Order: sequence, then C-alpha cells, then structure tokens
Amino acid sequence: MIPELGHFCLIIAFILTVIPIIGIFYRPFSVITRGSILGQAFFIHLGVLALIYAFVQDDFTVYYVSQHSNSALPIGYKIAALWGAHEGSVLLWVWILSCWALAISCQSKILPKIFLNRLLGVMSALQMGFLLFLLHLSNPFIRNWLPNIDGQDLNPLLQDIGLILHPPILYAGLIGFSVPFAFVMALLFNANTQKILFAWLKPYVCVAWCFLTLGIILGSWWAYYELGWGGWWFWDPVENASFMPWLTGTALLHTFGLVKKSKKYITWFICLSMATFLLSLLGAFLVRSGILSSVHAFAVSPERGQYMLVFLGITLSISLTWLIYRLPHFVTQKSSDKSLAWHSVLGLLLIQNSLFSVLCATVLIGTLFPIGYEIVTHQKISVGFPYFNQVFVPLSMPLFGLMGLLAIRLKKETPKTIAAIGITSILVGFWVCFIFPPIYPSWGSKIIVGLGVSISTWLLLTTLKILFSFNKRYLPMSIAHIGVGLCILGVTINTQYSIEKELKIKPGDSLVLAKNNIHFTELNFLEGPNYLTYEATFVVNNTIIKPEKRLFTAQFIPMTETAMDVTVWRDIYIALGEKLDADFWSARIQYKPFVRWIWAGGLLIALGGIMSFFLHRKGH
Amino acid sequence: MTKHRTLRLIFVLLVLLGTGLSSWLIIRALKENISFYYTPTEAITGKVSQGVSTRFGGIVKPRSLDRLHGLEIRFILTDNQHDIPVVYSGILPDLFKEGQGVVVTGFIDENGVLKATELLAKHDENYLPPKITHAPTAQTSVSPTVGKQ
Repeated sequence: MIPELGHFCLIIAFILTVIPIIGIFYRPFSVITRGSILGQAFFIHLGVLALIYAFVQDDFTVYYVSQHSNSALPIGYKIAALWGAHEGSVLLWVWILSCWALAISCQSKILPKIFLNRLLGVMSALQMGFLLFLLHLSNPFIRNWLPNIDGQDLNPLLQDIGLILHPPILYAGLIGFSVPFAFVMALLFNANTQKILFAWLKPYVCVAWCFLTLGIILGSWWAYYELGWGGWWFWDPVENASFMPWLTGTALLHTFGLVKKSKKYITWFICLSMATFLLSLLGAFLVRSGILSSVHAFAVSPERGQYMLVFLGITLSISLTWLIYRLPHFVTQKSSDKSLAWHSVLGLLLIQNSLFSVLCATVLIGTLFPIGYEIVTHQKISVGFPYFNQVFVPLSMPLFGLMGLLAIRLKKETPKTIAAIGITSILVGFWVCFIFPPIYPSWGSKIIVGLGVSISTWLLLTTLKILFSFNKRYLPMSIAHIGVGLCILGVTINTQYSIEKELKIKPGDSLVLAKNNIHFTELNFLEGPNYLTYEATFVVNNTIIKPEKRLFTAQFIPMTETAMDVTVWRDIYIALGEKLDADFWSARIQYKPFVRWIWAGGLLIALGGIMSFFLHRKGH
Repeated sequence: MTKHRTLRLIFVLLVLLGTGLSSWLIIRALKENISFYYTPTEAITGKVSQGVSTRFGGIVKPRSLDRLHGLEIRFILTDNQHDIPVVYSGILPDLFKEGQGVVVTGFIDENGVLKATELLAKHDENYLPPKITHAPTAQTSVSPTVGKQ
C-alpha cells in the first residue's frame, strides 16, 4: 500500500509542475506558482519517505528493494541503498531539485515577483522532465509479483560510508547549478537587469559549488580506499562528468566580480551558467546511458539513454535559441567602454575564465571523443588517462601562475616583490627535485617534481601574503587558494614518489618499503553480519592494520577491504589479493606519500567556498 | 600603428598561439592514447596489428584459468566463436572469475598470446562487455518477473 501511495505522490508532484510553467506565460496562474512549488516539494518528500519505508521494512515485494537490499543489511545501508542504483538515484535527483526550488521560493523577498515566477517556472520545467523520466522509465515503486524471500543485497562495493555521503552531496552540487541556469533563463526575459539580482544568486552558486567540490573529493577518497588500486583519480568518463561542471562552475563563481563591475560581462555570465548546468545534464546522460565504459556504469538500458539524450537535446536547443533570440537586447546596451589592462584584477579574472573554459573543453573532447569516433568509423575505442595528464597538466600551469599573480595584484605589490617570490619558488622546486630524487629519476620526472613544487610554493607564498593582510574580504579566497597549492603539492609528490609492490606473501613474512617495516603476522577467518571474511593482520612500524577479503553471502560477491597506516606524510596501503597455494596470498602493498594532502587541499577549497557564503550573508 | 592597436594585435596573436598550442597538445595526446577495442573474433580474423596496445572484451572461458608460478595466471578469453590465450601477472580484480565478462588491455605477441597489462572486471555482475551478446554457459538463475502496474 505504502509504495503505491509513494508512486501516487510522485504523480501528483508531476501534475503540479505544470502550473509554474503555465505561470511564465499566463499571468493569472503565477499567483499559485509558489504554492505549487511547495506542493511539489511536499509530495516528492512523501514519495522519498515511502521508498525509505519500503527499504527499512524489508518490503521485498517492491522490485527495486528486492534487488538492492537484504534483511541482514545494516539499517544505515538500507536507507542509503535508496540511491544505490539507477531508479533510486533518479528519485534522489528529483528530490534534491525540489529542495533547491523550495529554498529559492523561501528566500526570495528581494526578488521582483515577476522574475521569481519565471525562475520557478524554469525550475519546474526541469523538474517535469526528470519526474517524467522517473515515472515512465525508472519507477522505483514497481512491484515484484514473485516476491523473493530475501533481497539480493546491495552491491558490496557500495556498503560503505562513502556511498552514504558521496551521491547526495555530489548531486546537491550538480543539481544546484540548475539555479543559475533557471536564473539566466529568467533574466533573458528582461534586459533591464539589476545588480541586486546577481547578489541574490551568488550564495546559491557558492553552495552548489561547495557541494560539488565536496562530492568530488569524497568520490576520490572513496575510490582510493574502496577500489583497492590505491589511485585517487582515474579520469574515468563519469569522474570527468562531475569535473567538467566543476571547472565551469569555478569560472562562474569568479565572474560575479566581473558582473558587479560592468554590465558587458553579463553575456559571458549567461553562457557560463548555461554551460555548467548543461554539462551536469551531460554527465547524467553519460552515467545513465552506459554509452561510455566506466566503473560507474549501471546495467545498460537503451530507452533511458535515449530519454536523457532527448531531454538534454531539448534543454540545450531551447536555452540556446532563447539566448540567441534575446541576446541582442543585452548587447545594445551602452556600457562604459573603457578597455581593460590584462594585468588588472578584472583582466586577470577574464584570462582565468578563458583558461578554465579551455581546460573544460580538453576534458570534454577526451571524454566524448570515443562516441564521435564510433559514429564516424564504427570502431570502439577508448581514450586512455595519459591523454588527460598530457593535455590537462600543461594547460593548467598558466592558471596557477595567474592565481599567484592575482593575489599579488590585490595587494598592489611592486614588480620587485613579485620577482623575489618567483625566484624563491623556482629555487625551492629545484632544491626538492635534486635533494629527493623521484622513484624513476628520469629528467621528465625531475622536471615534473620541480615544476609542481615551484608552482605550489609560488601559490602558497603569494596567497599567504594576502592572508596575513588580515582583510576579511580576501579570507575565503586565500583559504581556497592555499587549498589549491596544497593539492598541487600532494598530487605532484604522490604521482612521482609512490611505490607499488605486488607480492606473494604468507603470514610471518616481512618486508621493508621506503624505510617502513611491514610484517604480516596472522590471518583469521571471521564472520560479519552479511559476509564471511579473511582478516589479515599487518604490523607497520608498530601500528596494526587489518585488510580483509570479504565474501558477501547473498550473491557470493568477493570484495577487498583495504587497510592503511596513515600519517601526515604518507600512507602505507595494503590490499589483499586472493588465496594462492598453501598459506600464500597475493597482496598489493603501496607507499603513497602526501596522498592526504590532496584531499586536505580539496577540503580547504570547499571551506573557502563555505566562508564566502557566510561572509556574503553577513554582508546583506 | 597606435599603441592601442599594437596591444590588440599582440592579444590576438597570443590567443591564436594559445589555441594552436592546446590543439597541438590535444591532437598529439589523442594520437598516443587511443586504444582500440576488439572482440576475440576480430582479433583472430586479423584486424589487430601485433605489438600494439589494444583492449579486448570477452568472457573468461569456464575451466580455462590456470595459475603459473608467482602471481602469473593464464586463461582463455572467448566470445563463444573464437578464443585467445591470455597471460597476466598481478592481482586480479575482485569480480574476475570464470564465465564473467572482462576487458583486457594488452598486446598480442608473435605466438598469438595476449600479454595483458590490465584487467577490468565490472562492478555490475550482470555486465557483459560491448559487442558480446550472451554468456557462454546457460543462465541458471531465472530473473524475477516484473509486474507492470
């Protein structure tokens, strides 16, 4: 009964989305626009609760629940299983979109009524598309007429704290960019834009961007400890799908300063907002269609891919047509036509924006190239991750150089100081690459270390100068930029100094890895709530860590649980392989220096965003 | 030329240079890092050149997995029409087992043996590599009937 009610609630929400859309064009309807948004949010929440209820009650007559839950599954995972597969994650998407729409309609006092109604109308149109997808092609409430006695269990890979957190946070970010999208669509109706509108929008972009940043970091951290490879970024199509909107979103966040200064940048702002959300949609399409091979791919289903493609196509063509149709009204506005020096703060921001767009384009090309190639030549190919490293890394370097320059410009430093900081950082880079030779001490590797360390030193020194000017305005920016510096340092050192060993090993064996004593003491066979496990005990310099090899009994899926000995400077990362002959096991043991710095830097970047949000709120 | 115009010219040249540089990087990197994807049948019928790193999708033939010394293994990759022997050294992915879909990256040596550098088994147990239409063994589990409302 409850699942049917949940299904019914979603249908009501779907019908309610029509009202704000009509409200855009037919004024009398717009009186109930906000009411309808409230109603949508209410019914979608009920729908989500109904599915959670089905999971918690182990209602295996619901097909989705029977496929992705099990009576022995811990309760936290039962709730998180809601977004563990396709249908539920579409529901999560819809749910988060309704939350964003609700947030807009509650925080809209300063917006002109007519603008608000258009904004909510666009949000509803998007919601309508997703609800139709949910109800028509991915209904999680479908019954299973031959009920399983017990569910098939959640994919063991997903039974982890990472799963509970990663998708909702990432989605909150991706979907959050629907707000600037709807905003610019509404903005295009009327050329007499007021600056107050942009001030209203900024916190939304800021929050969405923070969520996206956190989501990406969480995904990276999760992949690191859960997949057993010890990598933290794979340039997988789906990772790229979340990274591209992050790149344009970051650019978008930096354009608010430009728009505040002069109206002539509004066009650029509009394009970026549209691109960011459309890239989020593209990501949804890539994941849902399974068109690109990826670790994230759910089982392939052509109709879903087609629907997403059509939805993406419609959104893209309507928004582009609307933009082209209305743009002349914006361009003809006379604005102050003072030309911009490239080294002024605004000029640097503009260059930064174009660099971000180029970076995003390179990732986009690498991600979509296999699709284009297959259409033209009917041959399946894949683009390996070295492509991304070879293109992305060199093209991102000028960006980091500019970031430091920007910090210096804000404080109006003399060229002398700039040169001093620059030379210091280059010296530090050289010093590091010669004193600590990389694992493969080739020239290429040394140059990478030198460059990476120089750039992060440059970034850190220049940003610290800003930070210690104790100007509250620059605080969020300094924190985020320091995060970028630490991140680059972590990435450089981690990629160039990591050691990986694959061994045949038995209890009692020991080895030395980068001056760390590792001893395999024992191996036990244990029983977990829904799995059996071999638990190995390793001693790394007196710390005990316990990697496991689990067998999830519902579907007999084996699963590696890695274990790490963590310090600030390095991780010792151990993943069990499998049982070989006699007592021997295969194992992957890795030395990963500075790997925590990557995520620490990422967290600082997100923290900068959060601080900016709160400072902005205080300012109004 | 006025100073303003010179600046503009420099700016345009810089933009052109930047675009050129990035296009060059992209094209060069794409050339080096594309890997083609084939099924065993395509590999046998000679579409694949020797010694070039390529991806192969197929199924691990049941009862073909052999452990050699150390971490080395040998198995047969099949698409139910043709087989290729594969050797690999290293840790196997969790979901790698006989009868399961797998994507192998590597190159074929002069004896027709595929030397694998990377094995990918999908997280989804219902996964079959692209172009492979059915699993080799008869499916024993019956998928539950889905009722439409």
